[in-house]
Amino acid sequence: MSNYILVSIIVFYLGLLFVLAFFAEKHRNSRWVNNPYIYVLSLAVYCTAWTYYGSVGIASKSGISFLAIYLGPVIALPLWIVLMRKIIRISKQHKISSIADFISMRYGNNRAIGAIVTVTCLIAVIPYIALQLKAVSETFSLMTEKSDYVSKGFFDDSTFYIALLIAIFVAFFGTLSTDASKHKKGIIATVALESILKLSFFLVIGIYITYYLFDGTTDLYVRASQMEGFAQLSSFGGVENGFNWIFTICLSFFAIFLLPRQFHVAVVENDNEKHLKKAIWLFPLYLLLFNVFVIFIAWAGNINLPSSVNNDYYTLLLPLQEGHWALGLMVFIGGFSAVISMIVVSTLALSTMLSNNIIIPYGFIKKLVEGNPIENAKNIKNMRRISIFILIILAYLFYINFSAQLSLYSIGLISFVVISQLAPSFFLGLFWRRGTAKAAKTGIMVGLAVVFYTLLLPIVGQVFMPEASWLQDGLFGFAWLKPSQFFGLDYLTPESNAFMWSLAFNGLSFVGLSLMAKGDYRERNYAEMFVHHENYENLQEGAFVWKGEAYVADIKRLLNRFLGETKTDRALNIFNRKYSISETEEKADARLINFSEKLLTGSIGSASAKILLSSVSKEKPIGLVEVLNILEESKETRATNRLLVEKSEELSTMANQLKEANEELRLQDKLKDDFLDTVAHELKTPITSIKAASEVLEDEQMPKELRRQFLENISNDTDRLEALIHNILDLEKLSGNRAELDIRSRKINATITKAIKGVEQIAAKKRIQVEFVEQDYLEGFYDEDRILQVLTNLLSNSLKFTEEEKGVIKILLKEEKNAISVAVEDNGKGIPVEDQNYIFEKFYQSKNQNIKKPKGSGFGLAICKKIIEGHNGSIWVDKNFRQGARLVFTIPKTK
Amino acid sequence: MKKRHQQKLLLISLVLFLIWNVPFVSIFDGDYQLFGFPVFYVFVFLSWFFAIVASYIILKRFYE
Amino acid sequence: MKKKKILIVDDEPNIVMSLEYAFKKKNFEVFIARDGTEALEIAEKEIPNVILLDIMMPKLDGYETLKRLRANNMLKDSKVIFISAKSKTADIEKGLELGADSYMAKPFSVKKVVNNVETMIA
Repeated sequence: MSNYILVSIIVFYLGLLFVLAFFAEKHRNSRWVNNPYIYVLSLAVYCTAWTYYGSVGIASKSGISFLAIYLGPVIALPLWIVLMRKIIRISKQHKISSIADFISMRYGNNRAIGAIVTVTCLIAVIPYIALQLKAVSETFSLMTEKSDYVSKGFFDDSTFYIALLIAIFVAFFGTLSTDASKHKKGIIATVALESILKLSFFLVIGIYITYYLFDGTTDLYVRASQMEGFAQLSSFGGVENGFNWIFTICLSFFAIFLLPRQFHVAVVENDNEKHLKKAIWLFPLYLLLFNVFVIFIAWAGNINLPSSVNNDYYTLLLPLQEGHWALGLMVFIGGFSAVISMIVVSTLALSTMLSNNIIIPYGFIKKLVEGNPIENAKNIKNMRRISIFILIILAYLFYINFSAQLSLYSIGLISFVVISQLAPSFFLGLFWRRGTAKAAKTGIMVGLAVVFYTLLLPIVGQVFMPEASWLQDGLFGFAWLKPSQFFGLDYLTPESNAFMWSLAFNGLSFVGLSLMAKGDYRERNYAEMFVHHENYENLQEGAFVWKGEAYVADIKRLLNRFLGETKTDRALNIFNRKYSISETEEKADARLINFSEKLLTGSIGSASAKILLSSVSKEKPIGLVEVLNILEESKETRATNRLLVEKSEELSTMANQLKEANEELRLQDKLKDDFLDTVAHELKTPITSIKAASEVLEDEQMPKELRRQFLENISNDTDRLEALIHNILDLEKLSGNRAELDIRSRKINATITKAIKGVEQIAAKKRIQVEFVEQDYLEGFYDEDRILQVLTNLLSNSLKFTEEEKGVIKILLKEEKNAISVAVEDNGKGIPVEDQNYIFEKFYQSKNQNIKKPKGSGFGLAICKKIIEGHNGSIWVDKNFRQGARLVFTIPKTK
Repeated sequence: MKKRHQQKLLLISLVLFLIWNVPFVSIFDGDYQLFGFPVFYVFVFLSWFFAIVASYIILKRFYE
Repeated sequence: MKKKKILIVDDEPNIVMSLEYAFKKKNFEVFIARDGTEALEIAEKEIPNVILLDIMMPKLDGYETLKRLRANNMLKDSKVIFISAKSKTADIEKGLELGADSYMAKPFSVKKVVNNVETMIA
């Protein structure tokens, strides 16, 4: 196939990805880019060219060991329900945008750790990217039939241009926002698509080889088993190999968590932790499907292809050998997809780490502080873009210089060994509070040193000093220092050897140093927050980990530089509203510091954010005990807190109701007090009278007539007392619904007439008119005595409050659907508006009556209300009636 | 998801780790084949598949 | 000796009756008012030596009546004793602050009231 056709196909394919990414960004809220399947497919960025081509290579040469790379993740996935959920929650809580952020945050936002982790990732991933470029370049040359193609320089090499195109793609879609924790829907969508492509193409070619080129799996087995060295390919080998096997599984187990690109897709890009529900079973299934045909392709290659070809490319060579160019092209595109998605996500993750954990905190932080927001955003983006290009160029250089010596598989494994140096500080840090920053730093460095000596040095040595004897004989001639067989263990592969020793030294230094010295307060607080993250989820902005002094104005100025004024104002507004903090507050509290730190972390990484904030604030140490105390307190109020946040509206209405209820209660209380006063007054008056009379009656010379008068007074006062007590008891009886009502169908006209007769005398005396317009012969369902009591009460009230001679009282009857309503209205002084709602309350007397003599005991209307309620009716003041007072009540109508 | 059900998933991991390692895995290190798959692969792929099914069932039933 | 004048202000006729009888017995000249306004009228006309004043009354209450009595210079020598069913400390203090000379909570003993009045004007 012509060079140019293939290049144009590649460009066309990349163009397609651009379009897809563009649309995904445009519809970033659509269901198509936000679902668990996209999440699972993005996880499949784990399967790179190494999987696509390298697995077959290993399966055809050394057998089963390719499988171990997938068994680690398969073992790891069920653990995600606990582990990954924890990691995701912590990361979301702190707006973490890379694994370097994650680890440095765990150890108190330590700048040095962020840098060391970044460097580790660079060492691990750049060769890995180189491996991808190698695969592209080699398959490219296979496709264009220049099988012994050797690059003569950058500009002559199509791989270089492909690498540049990829860099442009990442630089464009990876830096749309300065906030690195913002999801990159475009990139993830392309990765997902590519995951579908690479798997389905691989399955297609697997089926083609197994069932088209051969007669199925059994046929392949039979024919392969006759070949030399087959037994080794399908067997586990001795127990000694078992160690290599275990170590490789462990390596891949760590890699699925720690590889920057895995962390990126699994944690940073996760937009819903519920996606784990699908990922935990679907991702292993994806891996299983990818592995089913590997051995058959490998055997087929061994059978059909000459031994001179590179085993890694059996997948491509088999269809090409048959002259199936279309299939070959399909395989090439599948492999190319695997390459692109890996490079894209890796450079994206690495460039963020590079800018946020090395370039900004170690060089540009000053410049950023002085710059304005637009410039800063531009600078940060440019920094990332340049990082992306630098990374890809570095990978390219690595590929040019080293790839000849190494297979895809071994480069991949070296990456894994390097990245696994993060394992102790990462995993132990998640569950062990004691781990310290110093120990983490030392552990990683020691581990890296061991890897460098046992694994990298021999490779570098082979390239630059092929004659060096210490590689074979050990340093200074000590055989136990031989890099690839440390301490004389000769049955381990170089990678297993490096892995075991590096991790042993790394882990021991980490644990040992952590036990030897405690970390400072900041480390311990963050440790506590990571290890027991669930306790802190509801804490406001994780506020307690900071204590000190700072001014809102300073912080605002700082945020302005990075977010711009509008965004800063909006963020601070939200913050103030969330915690009901006054806008004019000058001092910043811990919550604001943490809130700002989070805001900045997205743009410039956690370490830089911390440095910037500490430049405008005076931090005071805060002890872990203090932290735990605060936590205890907050735990107690957490239930309310959560409710407050989630249901603030509901709560505020509830608060209002409470306020009203409280007001009501207070009023009730006051009414009760007033009532007691009134009752006391009412009781005391006749008692005083009786007492006084009995005292003066002691005078034996009192005239008989006068004596009789005093005795009569005593009798009257006693009656008054009795009536009062009767009223109180009556009301209580009605309140408790203990009064038995004699309810029967009766004529309401008759009852009203009776009631009017009862007050006639008083009315006549005051010359007040009582008018009643009879309305047919309405029949109601009621207890006549009680309704009479109500009517009498209303009438006497009206009589009390109307003026002599001018007063007119009217009783109006009205028939309603199920009830009869009776209104008693007068032209008196009316009921003050503020009293209208309360006059039916027990004990209530108008405020104005408090000092002036009350014209009643305060029971009358309360008793009326109870009686009417006993009839399932209601009684109220007609608020629209202004000429006087009008009270209305209803009683059931006879049907 | 309740702790108890989470632990079922953790158990799957533990079991996989044990059966895929020496010495257990060497039980299946033989010359037999099934539909062209050497017995070692049959064992790994089947256990792999069962792990997927088990995880699926557990998650489907108990994930809240 | 000239008869001492006493004004009894209360809207409870039964209580007034007993007090009237008791003070007449002690040779007082007794005047009676049923509310604050009436009390002011009589007081200005008769300048009583002692005024027994109820607090809770229609029209003009005891406190207000006292204020107006005290505003009248002619009445500055008249002693005022509150007689009221309001017996809380706060009520008593309020009464005394307004310038009452004594405060007797209902129910009171007539004898004590008489004694109190006698010592006051002795």
